[in-house]
Amino acid sequence: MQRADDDEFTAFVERHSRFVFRVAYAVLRNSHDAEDAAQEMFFRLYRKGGWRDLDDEKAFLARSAWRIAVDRLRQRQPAEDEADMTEFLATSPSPEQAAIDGNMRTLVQELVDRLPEQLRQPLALSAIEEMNSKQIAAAMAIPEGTVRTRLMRARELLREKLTTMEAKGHVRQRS
Amino acid sequence: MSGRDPELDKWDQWIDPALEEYAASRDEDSPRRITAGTMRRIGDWRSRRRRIRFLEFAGGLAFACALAAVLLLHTRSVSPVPVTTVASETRSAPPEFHYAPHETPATPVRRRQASLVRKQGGEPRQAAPRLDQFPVPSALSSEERTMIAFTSRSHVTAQEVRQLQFGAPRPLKTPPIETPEIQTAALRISPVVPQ
Repeated sequence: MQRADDDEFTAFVERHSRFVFRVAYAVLRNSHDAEDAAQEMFFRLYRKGGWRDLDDEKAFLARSAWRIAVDRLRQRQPAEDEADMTEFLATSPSPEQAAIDGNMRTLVQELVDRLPEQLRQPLALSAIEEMNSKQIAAAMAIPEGTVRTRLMRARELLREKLTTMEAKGHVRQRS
Repeated sequence: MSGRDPELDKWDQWIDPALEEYAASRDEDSPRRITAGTMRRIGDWRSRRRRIRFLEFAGGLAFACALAAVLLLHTRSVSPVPVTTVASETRSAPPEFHYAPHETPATPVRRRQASLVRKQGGEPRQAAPRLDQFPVPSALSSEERTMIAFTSRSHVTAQEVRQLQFGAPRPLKTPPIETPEIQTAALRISPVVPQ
């Protein structure tokens, strides 16, 4: 009986692990932390039980993963964050360097990372497949209208920055 | 969608794949690691829970044993001799206390009363002696004194005492049956009166 339960739960984790990881990664921006958050979420779900009776699995998992990731983000030491950011800035190319290298995808990712958190997080979640503004609103516990506004504002900011860089000649024209 | 800027449509078509790539996991092994790590955590939790349950059971058992031992010792201290042996042994008579005629057993209440009276400068009041502690008049013979002492200690009616004192014969409820065998036995055991 327990063996069958384990097999079923393993299949459940395998089915949703990538999605949960992406939600956690959208907040934490660190693969190891995102993996830990995903494991913790699945573990809590197993302990509490009831993972078979979920009405909307994606919405529930997104909300749970989001909360755990936000808690982990708050628990992070500020010094650790500063060290990570210093390392990140030292190792990752600047937007201008990315543009010079001609890697537009990398440039977009750099620009998204530099967006304010309240704009970056809904934008990252919206990029995750099958997450609409309603699910994002449920996960972030904010009104759906606010999600739409922030998404629109984030896209505008990205477009403005890219357009400015194109105008200055740092970036090749998008094809 | 006729009023929408074609430049915006072009932008959306360009940015959406870029954002999707941003959100995508950059580590293809993450799902496998998450599954393995989750199941390992569950296994650790189960073994820890089993250990805790075992410790709880062992603790409960030890507590029950200790409680039973304490109760057993307490019971033994209350009645060290088994009940079955008490009946077979000869019970000793309760100790008798002999008081002088003017003395009475000093109970805590009486001790307190006497102490209070002494503090107030008076003489402690002596309790009246019990019926069996009245002095027996010395003018009586030893037989009479024994009789009086016996009647004062036992539940004998006044009529019976009178009969005992003055030798009044008590009427027999049933007449004695005198058979030849009894008469013969009475003659045989009758004392020989010295001449």
